Amino acid sequence: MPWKEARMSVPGSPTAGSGSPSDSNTAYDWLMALASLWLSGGIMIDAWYHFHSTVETFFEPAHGLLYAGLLASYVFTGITMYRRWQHGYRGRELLPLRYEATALGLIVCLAGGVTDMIKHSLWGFEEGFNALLSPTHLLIGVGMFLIIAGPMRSALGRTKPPATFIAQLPLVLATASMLELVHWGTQFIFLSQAEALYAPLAPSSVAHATITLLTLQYDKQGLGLLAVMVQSILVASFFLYLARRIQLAQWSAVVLLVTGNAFVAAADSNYAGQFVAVIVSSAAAGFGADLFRLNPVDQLGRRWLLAAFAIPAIYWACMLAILAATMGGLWWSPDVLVGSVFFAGICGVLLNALTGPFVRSC
Amino acid sequence: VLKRRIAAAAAIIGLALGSGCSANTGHWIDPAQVLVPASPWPKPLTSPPEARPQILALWLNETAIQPGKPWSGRLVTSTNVASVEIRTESFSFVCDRPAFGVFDFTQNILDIVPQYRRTYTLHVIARNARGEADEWLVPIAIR
Repeated sequence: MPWKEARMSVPGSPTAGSGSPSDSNTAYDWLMALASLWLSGGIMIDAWYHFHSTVETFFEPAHGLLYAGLLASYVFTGITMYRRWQHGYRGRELLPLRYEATALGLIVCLAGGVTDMIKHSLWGFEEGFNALLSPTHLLIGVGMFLIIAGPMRSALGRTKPPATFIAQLPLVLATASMLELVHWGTQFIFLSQAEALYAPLAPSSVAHATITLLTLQYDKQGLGLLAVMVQSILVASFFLYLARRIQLAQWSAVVLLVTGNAFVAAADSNYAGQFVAVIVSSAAAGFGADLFRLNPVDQLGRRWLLAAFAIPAIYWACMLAILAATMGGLWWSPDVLVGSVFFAGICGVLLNALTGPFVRSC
Repeated sequence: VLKRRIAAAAAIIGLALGSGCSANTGHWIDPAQVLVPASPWPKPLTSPPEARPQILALWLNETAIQPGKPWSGRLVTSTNVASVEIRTESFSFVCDRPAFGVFDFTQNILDIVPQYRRTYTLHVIARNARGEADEWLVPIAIR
């Protein structure tokens, strides 16, 4: 079969008409979305494993799971490229449309994995923030970002973007995986520590440590509020990123926020109540987002402003309420509790201003 | 031939993954046992430097550690023990040695970040100058 003729029948053809059904790479989008979940889930399990076990070798089960996800990405890409080669594609066209970042990510991830193995073999294993900011770990993270960007770019780059919940699922799962990756790098600020059991000791309770405890109390309250702000920014920004580009189908926002927060919640929660709080709050924020029925065609409406305020505010109001109910109360004062939910909403409003359309009327 | 290669590859991967599962080689101690000091409290066992180090008794004031309360412990070992390390998956420190074969520690815990609040295996490792070790393992929790 002449290759030019075959190219017309293969999804993702660069010459396929823009917006036509062949503008998509459906099977590969799904495979890479699943690989994205595998990678983000694997890296979070690896983080949990490092925290809960004495890691003394590169060849441990969590690394096995993580690198199996990377291997799956290679296999899926290899099979897809082979099929396209069979259909007559050559050179750069072997890669499905808009997956250039993924190809680069596969190379960067491999480079990061090999250098990480060498680093661990020569100098052992880092702990805590050293592990988080290790250059080889960051290289792996960048590689994963690029891999996961593939299904997102594939869906968002289409002239006629996916409209139904099922059609949007690869995009939503890949975006959720990217949110998990951001959580991986910022998990030191994922928990609010508002639960009563995390309350700092009262400064006067230990006479010889009053000034230290005063400092501790100040720092803990500040860190808790920073967690509220950072998580609000993440929840609102990932939602707004998608909502500004396509009309999200019903349930898409719920899946985005629940899946995007589930792995980090599982890795960082010490109690079932904390995990449940994150999942229910994410679902509630997603339901709230659905109610606004935001349409990217009408980007100037007040609805955007309200949604941007409401989504992180719902997330934190639910979170704090569930933590209070399931974890034996909260140590934050009523003023701080109300103010932190307001802070969460303000973070969303500011992000909305940054991500909104910049239209100048003449 | 292909099946044999696949089996060999699977075996190598299994070994590689299995090697990552660290095994605890010390003696497991019932946490209730260390909360009550041994009676009579033993005296250090006089041992030559080249003899294997021995832990004779261990006492901890708590195995469920909480902020606001001091956490302390006492050990008696053979006299050839050069150092005692207290270690978990998340932290480690070295005990004081007020006398040969006598070790103790006290931690004043003002706060603990949530990430460290969970169950641990406490490794109490007594080493002689040659690096040989006697290791006791005690399940503990930080609340």
